Amino acid sequence: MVIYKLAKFIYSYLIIPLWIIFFVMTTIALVGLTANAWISRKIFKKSHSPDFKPRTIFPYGDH
Amino acid sequence: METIRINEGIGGAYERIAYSNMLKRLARQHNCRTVLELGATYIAGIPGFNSCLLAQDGFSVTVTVHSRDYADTLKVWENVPFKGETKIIEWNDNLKTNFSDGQFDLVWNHLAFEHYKNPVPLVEEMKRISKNLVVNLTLSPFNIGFPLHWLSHKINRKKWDHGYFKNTLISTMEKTHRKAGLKHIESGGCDVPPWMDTVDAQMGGTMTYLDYSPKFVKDKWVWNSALSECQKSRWVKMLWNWEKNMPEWFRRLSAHHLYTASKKSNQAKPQFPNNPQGLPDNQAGNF
Repeated sequence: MVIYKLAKFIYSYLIIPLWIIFFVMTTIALVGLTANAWISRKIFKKSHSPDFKPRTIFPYGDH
Repeated sequence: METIRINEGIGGAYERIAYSNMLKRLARQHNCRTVLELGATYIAGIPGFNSCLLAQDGFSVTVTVHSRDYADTLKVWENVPFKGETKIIEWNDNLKTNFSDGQFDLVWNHLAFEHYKNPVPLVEEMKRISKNLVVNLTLSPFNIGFPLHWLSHKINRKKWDHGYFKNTLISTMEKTHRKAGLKHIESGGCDVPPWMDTVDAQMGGTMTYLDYSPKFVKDKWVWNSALSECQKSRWVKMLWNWEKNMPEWFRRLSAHHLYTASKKSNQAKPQFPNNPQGLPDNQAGNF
């Protein structure tokens, strides 16, 4: 039981560096994809229709 | 029935899977079967879709949706492969509903709490119609995407429409639940994938990042949380395994959403679970 708990604790902290490596990679990818979308729109004049019209998130008014 | 080709992107799909897993765990731990999502909001390009995985998992789900999103919500839900006894109701006031006292085992909502300057009346109404649990989820201000998104609103001179900063915090949710007379059970972070939350960032009208990519790429990268191939994807499984096992402090710090769950006081568990009389363990025959 102690060994299991220790292994679980070590694993929980090993996730953090892995998570950070993935975070850096996905951030680079997001920057690239955003640049790609910007170039497509501004230079190649492409457009895209979303499935549902974007709108403000909360429709219930300011309470 | 075939599902329409809804593409939430991996971010939207994982988010729905992550908070649904948290809600399902709480519901099972507290014997909840009937669930109300009070004021279903519009996220990740899919209106009123937040409770879809609870319905698929056999919970009796009721969803109230604002008139603005009602037609779109019906359109989406019609195409969910299995929705059980789901009821979708058009309703525009979260603070006053026609539901009877204690009608649902669990009442929750997603990204509604922080929009009320004073969220106590919202939680009081949730408490009134709940028999057992009340759960609120907010947009986490600690995720790196949050300040960047705030900055993009400033640069684009777009009105900030993600609620009051103070009300996004766990401390505010806990305090509000206590004020409403609820007994706090747990709080935490939820939806912790290794990417920043881009919130409602739209790139020329689209919410998924591959829509401007070649067709053969975007046709392959379709994520819909209602489909089993998405739920069983090794990526989703791996990310959920990480989220489930990471330290709580890290989860709270990097989550896209924060949540607080409370019970109605008359449903409170005994302080000592093995002896309902509340005797200390050494006096209660705890073998």
